[in-house]
Amino acid sequence: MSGTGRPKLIAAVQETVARLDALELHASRAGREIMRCLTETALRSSASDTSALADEIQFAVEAILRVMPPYAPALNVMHRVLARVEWARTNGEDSNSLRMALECEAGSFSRWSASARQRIADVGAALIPDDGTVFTFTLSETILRCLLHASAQGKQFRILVTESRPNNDGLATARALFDAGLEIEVSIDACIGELVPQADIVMVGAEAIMADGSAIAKAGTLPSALVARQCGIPVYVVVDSMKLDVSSALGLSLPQDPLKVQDVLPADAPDSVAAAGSLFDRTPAHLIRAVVSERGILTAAACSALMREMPVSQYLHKAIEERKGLHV
Amino acid sequence: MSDHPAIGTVVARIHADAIGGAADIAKEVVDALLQLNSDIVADDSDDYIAQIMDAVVDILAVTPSFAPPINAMHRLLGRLEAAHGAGASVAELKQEIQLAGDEFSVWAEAALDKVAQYGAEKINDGDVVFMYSMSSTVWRIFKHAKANGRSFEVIVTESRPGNEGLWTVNEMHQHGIPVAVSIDANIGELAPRCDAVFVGADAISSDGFSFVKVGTYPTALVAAAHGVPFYVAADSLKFDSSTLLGLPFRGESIPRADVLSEDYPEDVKVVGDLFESVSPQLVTALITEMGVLSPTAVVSVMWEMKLSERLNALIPAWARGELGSHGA
Repeated sequence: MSGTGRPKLIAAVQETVARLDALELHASRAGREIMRCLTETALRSSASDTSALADEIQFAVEAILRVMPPYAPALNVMHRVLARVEWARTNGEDSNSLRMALECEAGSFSRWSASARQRIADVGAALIPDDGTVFTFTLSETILRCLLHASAQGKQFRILVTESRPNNDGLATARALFDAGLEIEVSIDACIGELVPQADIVMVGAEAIMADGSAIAKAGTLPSALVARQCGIPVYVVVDSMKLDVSSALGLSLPQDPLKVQDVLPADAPDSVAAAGSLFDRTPAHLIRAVVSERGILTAAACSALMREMPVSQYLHKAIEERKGLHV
Repeated sequence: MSDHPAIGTVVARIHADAIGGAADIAKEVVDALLQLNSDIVADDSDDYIAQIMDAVVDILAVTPSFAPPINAMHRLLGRLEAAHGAGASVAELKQEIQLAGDEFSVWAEAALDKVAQYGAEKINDGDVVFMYSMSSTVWRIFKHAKANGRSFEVIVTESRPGNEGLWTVNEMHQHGIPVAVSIDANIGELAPRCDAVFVGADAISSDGFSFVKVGTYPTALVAAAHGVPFYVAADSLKFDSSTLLGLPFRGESIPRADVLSEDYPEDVKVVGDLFESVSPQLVTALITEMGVLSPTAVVSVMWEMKLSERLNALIPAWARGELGSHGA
């Protein structure tokens, strides 16, 4: 810290931390919110030198990391911001130029984000067969846009979705599609063995794509993919490239959020009964036909190649390593 | 339609799914038939048999593919038909049914004890075993293993929509067996971590398929993909001889109210069944009172089962769901 004492978290950071902790932000949204609050931290900071400004940004990143689920977009946004900060430090850039550069980063990120959404919807919609059946698991705004886009193109198709316990995101998907005038059928997660074989295509979102091409996605995605493989049905993971987890290439990964016992048992259940499992599972690359992104249809190898182009912050890598011990 | 209150009660309990597993239903069916038997006032043996068959039709009409109550009725009616063929009086028929019922209860207990004994051999010290849903047969295996001094842990998931997995949590807790609970969507993460999977079944077909609670099939798929042994515990009462005639398992759909709240738009359909089949390729072994068998060995046992002609005549209509509660 630079002589002025402990940096303070601005309200925008505090709010983002609270919403991440409450699992109110899904992966892509978390990335956008973190970009917004880190940029605001830089713009509102009164730090007159680059090092003090960097400290304030890093302090905000640490607070976010303490509560953040394993969301790749959030990590990549932090890599992007911190890599720029590190460049400024190394190259002696003054704090005002750094502020302007970060504001610029935020603007270009937001423009990229909007165009990526549109491109993925185009690519994803092209995969949906006319008169076919699509199975999807849980809520993914990216998948929703693909389905709506395909429908707007005049394609007719059946959509199957399951609840996605514990927070029943699947029912939110069903509601959104219904409100948009699409036909939708819902079931329980246990029914994947019966429903996936009825589909022509399985489309799922993900929290992160790892360096080995595996996908960290809502729990239940892995067994759905296994059923699909058994029946020869292609599984597409639909994500933008911000979901590629660059830290995973170094063997680093964020701890998985465990399922809470109150998600399953009533309050008067005996204390000795534990909850097992996480909110996310890991679907290996061999069960995934392809990753559908704004860069087109990607194989696992293409994902690894894209990761090598992405900005990386050494500071963030160190913080992730340390977080393994910090995380409760 | 039988007007005996014991038959009315058991029919209502099966219909409301208020009885635990299929084996428990068999016991209640036999008890109800024995009560009817002791209360029957009949003009002659034909009238006596007609009154018994009325009750049998009532019970059958509400019974899905749960083999045990049907096999229990085969046992009682088979004895009845043999005695009737030999010219027995009403009093002698009543005595024969009582005897058959008593023998059935003794046999069923002994069979379940043997299943528990053989199944417990598959549990080793330090094992973590996964169980899907509830099964009083599997519970017996776990209790037997504990009584043998084995120290192991059980992981079970909710088993939506009825949440019978939570019954397993209570049962294990009451018997001092460490238990952890999760959501059904977590099978992909949890089953690979376990040393073995144990499930009960409602019926086993002549070609070795197990008819089980929905969600069991993807669990079996995950177990097979990770080389985790998958055991189906079922005494021979679960062997569904109607499948020898090429008849399908008879399932039930998931009730809409189990998935969607009342205010959800009517146009959103709920799909899926409460039960599904697991192929013999995914089953490591069937644990029966005759020992640990290949699931495809079931047929040789079925060939030797003594069946009632009258009950068999009702089975095709039952399997197609065409047996009304007011007679065939």
